[in-house]
Amino acid sequence: MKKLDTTRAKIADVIAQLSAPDVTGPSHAELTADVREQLEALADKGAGLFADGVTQVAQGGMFAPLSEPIEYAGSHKSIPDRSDRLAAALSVIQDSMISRAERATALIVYAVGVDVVLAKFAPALQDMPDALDAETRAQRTAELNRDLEVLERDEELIIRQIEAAGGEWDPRPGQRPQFAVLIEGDDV
Amino acid sequence: MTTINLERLHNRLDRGAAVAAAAAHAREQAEAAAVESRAQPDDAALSARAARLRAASNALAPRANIWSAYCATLRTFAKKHGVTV
Repeated sequence: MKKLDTTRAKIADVIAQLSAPDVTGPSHAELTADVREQLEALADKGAGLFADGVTQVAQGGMFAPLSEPIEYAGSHKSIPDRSDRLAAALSVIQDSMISRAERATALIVYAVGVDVVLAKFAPALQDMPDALDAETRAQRTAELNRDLEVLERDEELIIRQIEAAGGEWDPRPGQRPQFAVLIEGDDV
Repeated sequence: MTTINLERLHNRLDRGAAVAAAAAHAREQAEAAAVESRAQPDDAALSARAARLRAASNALAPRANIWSAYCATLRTFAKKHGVTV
């Protein structure tokens, strides 16, 4: 039974390594690139909103790049039930608020600049668990999965030895069935 | 070409069933002893026996659970390969 416990401890260790942040990712570099990509998209949107605001001023209006009329998708009179009409109206207002918040964010990112916003977030990004880069991570995951399979095959052989000696054993939580019952070419 | 080792499959399922049966038996014994002990609260021997049987039942319950889960994965896996048990 000691051999089984030892092998299972190794299996638990490999499984823990497979779920560790350095293997599950993303790395700081990937995370930063993802945030930058999203900030750049927001800045692009913000540039368009700023241009709209300038156009409004040029036409004698107010610089109000966030203003938009609240429009119902269909006539609320076509909804017969009063509570449904209220729900539809609230939904439109909620969508409008979300849309304004998104556009305000876009305008702020454009005004402040992607690099400045990213620099502000940098310490928070650095505080998050780092990971291996994507290629190394994929290699490491494949390597750990191979190690795991070897160990699970060992575990199964030890179990068969225990059974052959008339001993008792209990499955390990998460023990995969294929190593016990799958015959693939040669018996596994 | 993959196939299922039916002998080992049945052997493992039988082991799981044996643990489940032992756990059920232990639980019944523990419950009966507890009833008996409550009926005669002054009997120290009965009380000790009830505690012993309860401990034995408690020890078997998690084993039965883990075997049940393992047997379920065996059945599912076998079914994927065309073997229904």
